[in-house]
Amino acid sequence: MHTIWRVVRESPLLWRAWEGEIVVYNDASGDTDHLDPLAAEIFETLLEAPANNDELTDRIAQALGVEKTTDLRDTVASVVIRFHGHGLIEPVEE
Amino acid sequence: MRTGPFWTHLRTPIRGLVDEIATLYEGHPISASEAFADFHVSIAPPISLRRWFRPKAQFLADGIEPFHPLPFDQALPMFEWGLNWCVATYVNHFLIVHAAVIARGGRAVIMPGAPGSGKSTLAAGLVNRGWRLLSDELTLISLEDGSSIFGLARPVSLKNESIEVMRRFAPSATLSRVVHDTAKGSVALLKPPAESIAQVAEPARPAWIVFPKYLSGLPALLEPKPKAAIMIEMAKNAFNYSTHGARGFAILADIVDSCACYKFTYAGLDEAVEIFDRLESRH
Amino acid sequence: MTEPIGPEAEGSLPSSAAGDNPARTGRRALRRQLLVGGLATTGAMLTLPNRSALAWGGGGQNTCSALASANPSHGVKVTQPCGQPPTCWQSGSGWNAWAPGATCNGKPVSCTHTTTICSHFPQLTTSPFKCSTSYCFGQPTNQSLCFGSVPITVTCGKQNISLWNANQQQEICAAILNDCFFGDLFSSSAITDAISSCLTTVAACAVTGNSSGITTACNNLYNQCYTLNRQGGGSCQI
Repeated sequence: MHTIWRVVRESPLLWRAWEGEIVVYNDASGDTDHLDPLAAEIFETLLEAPANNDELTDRIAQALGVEKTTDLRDTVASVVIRFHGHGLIEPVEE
Repeated sequence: MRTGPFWTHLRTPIRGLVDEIATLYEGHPISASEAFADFHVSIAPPISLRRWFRPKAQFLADGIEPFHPLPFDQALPMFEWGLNWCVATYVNHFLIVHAAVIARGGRAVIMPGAPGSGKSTLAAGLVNRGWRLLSDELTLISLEDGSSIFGLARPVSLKNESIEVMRRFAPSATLSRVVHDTAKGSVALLKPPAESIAQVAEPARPAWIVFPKYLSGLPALLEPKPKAAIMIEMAKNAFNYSTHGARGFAILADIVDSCACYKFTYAGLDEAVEIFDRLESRH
Repeated sequence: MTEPIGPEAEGSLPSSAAGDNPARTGRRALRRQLLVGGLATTGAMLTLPNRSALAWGGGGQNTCSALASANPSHGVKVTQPCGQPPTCWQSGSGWNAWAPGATCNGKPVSCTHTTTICSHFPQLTTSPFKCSTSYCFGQPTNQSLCFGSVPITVTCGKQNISLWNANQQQEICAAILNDCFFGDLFSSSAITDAISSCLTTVAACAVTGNSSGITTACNNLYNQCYTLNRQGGGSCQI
């Protein structure tokens, strides 16, 4: 629950942003991901600094001017799981 | 025979096919002495008991048979499809996007689209109104500079109703005989204008990416399309995107960056030509 | 009609992260607007998977296909089948293995990862090997020697690369049989004898490296059979 996440460092990621969305290429997997605006904001937030889910939700709510609801928390959590599954982020080792 | 960057060596005993190719590919260099060919293909009746009964044509590329034989009278479209397959399968010194591409003044419009979207018909119409044909199917992007697009200037494949549309739109253009009952319906090939063939060695720079869609009965509409979605569509439509990895991503992303990107719905070629002419003069 | 918004940012890692710069601020503001405007953004992520990471039908065969352009500024790019690591230095396995240090058109052979042909054309299990090749059947050249689609030596620029091994002999036998043997309708003992003789010559020449001997023996066979094939069949008179 308190895992701190960061964008992966070892494998090269290339990304471009257009109109609030992001397309990111992961050279380790060869996959290309298209992130919608919310997923893109989560990605860029983790690019700036590692965070656990609570901190991430706080920062997203503040950045986007929305309430920190259960829905938002759950959405952020599911995006984090997907990012991890796609090799875009990794847990920070303590 | 050379079509753009590729030499193709064709061996066939089918006299009618030779005559049709000679007509449609007039203007492309032919050499009996060229030692190297990118593709060695043959189209011939397969050796079998059946060859006198419902004769078929078999396509071989370097001795490999990638498709089932087709009815004999489909030899010409088989040649076109087979050559497209050769380029898509074997060529990796270009990044290849499954898209029509035309140009004017050195600037290219890339038109990806699913079969049946109307991209070939649109390309055929535009090249008969002052645009240059690079290809109706394969956009070849140079890996050297990541942006020059090279053409093939091969005949445009038209299907079903679009054949009659083109007959009316460009009555003086050369059309092959119509081949019926193919997997894609009725098919005919449109010879590109001589200027397109003459300029085939000149690359063009991408300036627009347009996703066409034929929609009968509605006025033509050109609308901006979000670039992130365009990027994914281009990657999906690039045969060898994964082969080129990070370089492929960078090339396509740079092209998307540099192009104005639209979706375009149209019902008539006259209106489409007008819109494309305005688009070109505006940028 | 509005103009599309141009590129906002790009990045690559590991390198400096985006940070809080004007462009980043702008993107954040845009996303806020989209959410306020009611855009149903759910944190969705669509993935275009790596299409080269699919199983190759060859079952572990280490085959390479080489593509070359007539343009001498291009080197040979060796494409590995799906799932194989990019290496060209196969020793002794597969008839189209490259020796270390191989060059083509004066440039070193480079390896790239696989093509999407694995996903689009899964029936393809071998690819032709081409580098300035031409066919020997009816068209012998002094640049390279081949049988049908199977090159036995390949000339890349000024360097000859021999591909001769037992697997290639198998390929050549197959090529000859495909092209010369008429099947049930036109089989004759003369043809089968001639083919056997040709194959024996091929094997003998392979041992000694006498490619021209192979070319002569099998060109003769092929030309005769090809001629008769075009005429509609009959016995081959060798």
